[in-house]
Amino acid sequence: MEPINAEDFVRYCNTLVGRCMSEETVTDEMLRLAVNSCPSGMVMSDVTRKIVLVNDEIERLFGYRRDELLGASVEKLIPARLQSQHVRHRVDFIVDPEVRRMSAGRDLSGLRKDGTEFPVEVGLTSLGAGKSLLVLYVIVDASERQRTERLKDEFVSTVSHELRTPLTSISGSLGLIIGQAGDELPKSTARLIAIAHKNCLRLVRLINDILDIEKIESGQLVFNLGQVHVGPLVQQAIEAIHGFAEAHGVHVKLDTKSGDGEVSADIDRLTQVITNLLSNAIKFSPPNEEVIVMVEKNDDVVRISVRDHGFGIPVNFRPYIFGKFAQADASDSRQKGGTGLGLSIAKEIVERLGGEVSFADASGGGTIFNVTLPVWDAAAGQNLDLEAPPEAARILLCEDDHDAALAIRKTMRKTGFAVDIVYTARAAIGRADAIDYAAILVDLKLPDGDGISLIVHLRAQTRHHDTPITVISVDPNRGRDDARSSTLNVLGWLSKPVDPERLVQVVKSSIASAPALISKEVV
Amino acid sequence: MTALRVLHVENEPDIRHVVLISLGHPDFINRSCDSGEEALAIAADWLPDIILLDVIMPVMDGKAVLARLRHNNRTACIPVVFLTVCAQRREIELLLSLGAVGVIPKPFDPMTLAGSVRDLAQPRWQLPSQHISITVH
Repeated sequence: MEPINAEDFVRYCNTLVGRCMSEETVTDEMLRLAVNSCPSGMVMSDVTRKIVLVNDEIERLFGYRRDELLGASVEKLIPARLQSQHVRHRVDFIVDPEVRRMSAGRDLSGLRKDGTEFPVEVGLTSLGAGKSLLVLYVIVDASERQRTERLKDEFVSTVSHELRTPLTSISGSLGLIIGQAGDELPKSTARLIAIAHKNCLRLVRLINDILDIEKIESGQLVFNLGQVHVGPLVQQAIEAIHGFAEAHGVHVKLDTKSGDGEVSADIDRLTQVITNLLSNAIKFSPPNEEVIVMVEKNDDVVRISVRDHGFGIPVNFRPYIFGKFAQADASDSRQKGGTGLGLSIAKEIVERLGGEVSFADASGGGTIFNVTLPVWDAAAGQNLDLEAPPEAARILLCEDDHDAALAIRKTMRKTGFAVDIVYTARAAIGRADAIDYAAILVDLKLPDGDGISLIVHLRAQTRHHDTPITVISVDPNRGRDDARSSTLNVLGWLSKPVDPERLVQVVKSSIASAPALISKEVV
Repeated sequence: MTALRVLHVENEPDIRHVVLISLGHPDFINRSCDSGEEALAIAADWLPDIILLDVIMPVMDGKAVLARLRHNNRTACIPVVFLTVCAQRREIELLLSLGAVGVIPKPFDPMTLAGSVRDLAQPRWQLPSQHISITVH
């Protein structure tokens, strides 16, 4: 339908009035026009799910003529495999009507007349109450959005691959000239070759950092958490960066009072954080100065500090220091060879590990960067299931009853699952933020909150937007009746004590039907 | 020590040349080719000690080449190292899970390539860990 401008519309209405239409009829006509002009599909159904209204966009999206839909059940527009789910959402919705997005956190599909399916986003609004309750579905075709997201991922990956190929030839050739013939070259030529080589490597770092940032922002960065001794890790990072420090004439030392501490972290990612802080400190130190590194354990945190003797961070730059491509001085990046992403990446990683990064002026000049991470919690650590085979599908179980949790783990291990256990909602959020779980089991009663709030939090994490979640509870109905539950896409509500076979069956089928898992497997 | 026979499979001639010079040492006997089909034929005939394999190649990619090598009794045990632009952690993990002994991400350091290839060609039981991945920063 052609868009109508306001003046035309008023003129049209006047014409209708001129034809002696009643005011009521004019209002009806205005409404009909508005509904039909809406760029989103609209379907209204009555309490028996019979369609009572559709607009032009619905005809276009689904390929039906209006008369084929009016009076039919809304299920006509939903693929058979999703219909039971739909009935449940709708029942929940009628019990507790409010405007909401039906598709939040799940993949919904529409069924066209020709039998093909397409992804949709659906908003629900209820009109009226009681017997005359009407439900309005506002339906938007989501194929374009999904296609755009896929294209973006493919683009980032392709660009990275395509850039690396010529860079391999360039940096390989330059590296060979420097390594094999560097001494024979005239000084000025050797210097030019070294500049080209250095900048080539910088380009590689830039590609790596951009990929990291992209992964962090899209929630795809995977952490392999385990018990990490910070002392030796820091020592290794210092050794690894020795050549770089030497090239800048800077000495990196471990403080004589430096100790050790254990944290829960991903070794590679934590090394990346320390390396970024060290390389930053080195780059901003005058020659012959020292960078001092220290590891301390205080009560429940392990602190890693990196102190330089540079000129300090300009006051007006401080608020932006963790920003992307942030450089205090426009000429910094060229002089220092950095990517402008190092601190931003470090901060994101540390926060994902449950810690903090901060900085301060060091007494006597220079800057000190501090990373604090929660100490390794032996009780929580034991509950990472490290005995299961690596190919086992990993599941998070949030259950404060230790014995019940161990019993569930025992059963599930036999059928090929690895079960990580957490006792609190807070621990569950932290763990789930770092790991792609194949499925999550939640007890409704937790020491630090209720399970439904926990699921609301989990659904807010991109990583677990679509992860199958099952509730186990003494009183699952209490959770099912919670107003928020219908939007959370909980796939099963099991009563305690849990029948182990039933649980395995529910989890297995939930994983099998989760479309998001397939895409997670694809590299 | 007898020289190590290395087959390098790579469709970019420039990179083949850089690798050839990087491994230009009497310790190595080098052969290279630019496609998966050719690689399978040379591997079955020449039986190299180690194969450096690109992943992204037209017609038959590196993953398919590895699978075909493993299906032929003559070539099933030849250690394969991916030399590839697929350098992200997930990509590396996937390649190792296919049975490669190592993944060397591109761009690689030409001055340390010989040492890495030598290490990766050692019989597995002499290595402390099952897989090696070498990252160049």
